[in-house]
Amino acid sequence: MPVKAISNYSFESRSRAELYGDDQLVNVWWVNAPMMCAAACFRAPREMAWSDFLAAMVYPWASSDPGFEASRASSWQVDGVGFSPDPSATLASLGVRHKSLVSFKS
Amino acid sequence: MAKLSMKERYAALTRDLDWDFDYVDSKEVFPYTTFEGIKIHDWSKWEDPFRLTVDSYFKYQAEKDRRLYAVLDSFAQSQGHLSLHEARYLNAMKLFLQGVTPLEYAAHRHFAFLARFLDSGGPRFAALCQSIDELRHAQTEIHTLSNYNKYYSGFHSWPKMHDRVWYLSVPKSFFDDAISSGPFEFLTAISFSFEYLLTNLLFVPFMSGASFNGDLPTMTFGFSAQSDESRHMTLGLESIRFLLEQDPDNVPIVQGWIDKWFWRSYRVTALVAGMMDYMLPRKVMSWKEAFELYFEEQMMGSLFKDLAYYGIRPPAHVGDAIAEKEHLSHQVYWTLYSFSFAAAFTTTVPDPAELEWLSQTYPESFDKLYRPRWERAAEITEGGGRFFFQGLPQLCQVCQIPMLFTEPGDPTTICQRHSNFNGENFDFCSDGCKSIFDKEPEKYIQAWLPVHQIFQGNCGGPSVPEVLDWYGIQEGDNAEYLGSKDNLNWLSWHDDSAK
Amino acid sequence: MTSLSSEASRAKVRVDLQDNDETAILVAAIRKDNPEVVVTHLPGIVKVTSPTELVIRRESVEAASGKTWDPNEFQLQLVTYYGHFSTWDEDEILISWPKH
Repeated sequence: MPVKAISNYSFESRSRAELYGDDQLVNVWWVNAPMMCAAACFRAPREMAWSDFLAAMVYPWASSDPGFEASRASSWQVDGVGFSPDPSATLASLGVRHKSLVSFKS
Repeated sequence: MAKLSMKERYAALTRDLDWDFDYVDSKEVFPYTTFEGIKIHDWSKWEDPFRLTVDSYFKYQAEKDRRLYAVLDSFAQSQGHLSLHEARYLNAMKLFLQGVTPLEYAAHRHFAFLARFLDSGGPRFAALCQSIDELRHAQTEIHTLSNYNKYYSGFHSWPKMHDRVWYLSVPKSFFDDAISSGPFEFLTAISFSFEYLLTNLLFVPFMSGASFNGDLPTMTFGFSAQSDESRHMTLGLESIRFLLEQDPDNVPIVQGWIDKWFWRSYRVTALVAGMMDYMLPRKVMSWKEAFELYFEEQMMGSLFKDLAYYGIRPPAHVGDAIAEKEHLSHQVYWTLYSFSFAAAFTTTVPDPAELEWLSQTYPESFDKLYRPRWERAAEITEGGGRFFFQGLPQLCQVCQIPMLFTEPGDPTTICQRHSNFNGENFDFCSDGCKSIFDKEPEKYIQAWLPVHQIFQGNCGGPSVPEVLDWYGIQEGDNAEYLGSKDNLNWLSWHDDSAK
Repeated sequence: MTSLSSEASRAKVRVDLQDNDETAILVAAIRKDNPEVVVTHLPGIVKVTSPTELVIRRESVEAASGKTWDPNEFQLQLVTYYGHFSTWDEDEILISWPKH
């Protein structure tokens, strides 16, 4: 249903992919962590290797909870579909897209 | 001179001073009251139970201001800021000044717009009075709380913060959403859904909480504003009735707005829930009790039974709101605690007496789900640390609150909803917010989401200190309460007085 | 006063008033004219709840206070309400749900 408006109503998304250049936003959700009130949002290069993404962004964030152990992170999913990422593969090649939701349990 | 009755005075002094335009088409004078699809056949049917006239309006408003300023003066003269129950109480007032006062000003502006652009003298005058009321509220709130700005952190720079800071984008975007709607949707949004349905949840516990925590000026401005609020609630209810009675085609349009704006308003009150249960050191009533009294009993119990006569049903997703009452305040305040390094207020682990109160007030949820988090947070603090969420959160595209709410029926799993529009993914905290987006995606894709804006480089820089500087947050405004500037000042002031 | 339908009689009305001397006078007058009301307190606030409807009569308030009273002055004590102002004129204020 279009917006009822006094004139033509057409605007661009304020978070569209092109605003981030070679990067994209990635949401990361530690599913069973009651200390983490919400999923986190990161800006990461599309061509970033999975292992770099974990080491530079996901693990430092998850370490907000001193009980976090990287070795126990498992059940990885991207947008609700399970996957076993090759550490050297890039986010783009793994199907992680702009504003995708990556989740794990531990 | 024969004295006119109130009814005659209203007819003569408010309605009778209106005129019709014979030299120009009325559509040119009132261009905004048709595009929403609302059909009005007879504007004279608009009722104002208060029958306001200019002279009585100003007489009573002047009296309200006179009473308030007498209290403010005596408070300042008697060093009233020292008589608070505890300095940390003021965190609730910081949130109020940053989040609510700018909405009063925005309401002033938009009711001034309605006072020009509604087609008939009766509703225009009611809108004019409300516009002046809202300006008075903004001014009296600023004036009242400015006294604390002399002694406490976090009371400065609030207009800038309102425009920029992440948690304040919640109330700001809510009001911007309403202002950018048509006039009838705005009335349904603000006057009915926010003021009639939910404003009691915001104001009454605030004022009673102020009273209970030794904050006389806030209690007084609250009462002073709230006496106007009764008129605003009436405007909300009367405008709904008027729209519903004017044409049956208005009913589904109004229902859609009630569905949307109940949920939008309810999500804004989530901040109030956290404030009530955690920021007030002395508790008046819990969020759950206030919600049961002011929403479930009063609105669901009576109002919607009455509106059923017109074919209106309770708002969509109201069941989710009711089911959430055991959890809302705990989830919200835990989030504020986790992010208070980036807030213009401080947070702390509830003290043992508060934990006990929370446990007794929320027997279904607190000990099982929320107390363990506070125990972990306390352990981390005892070890010399402080638990913070060291990153930025995923935000809801509609309400802009971090996606902290849990699945209906499963309080251990965060609720994740998504929609795709023009090939782009959008995230939502709830079915309520998702359905609002899905009906008007063109509107909500424009959301200025604070987290995304930081990542786009629009908020002062990529690092936390750069963003805080851009927010206007200074040392002492944010993070942990214990050991903060306010806490240390409070202890030293009270230590001196004991000597 | 019109008789109440069973539907309407289930619908309560309420006013929340500032807890002060003027309210004490109002509450005395309200109790006289509305024997069924229940009065409760929160810090700073007096809540007056009626199981049906609630009327505030100028004559009763004036009798309780010994001075003239304009029903508009009620605005100075009113914190919030729940229901519908069915009447607000120079002699009385009636809060009730409409009877359709």
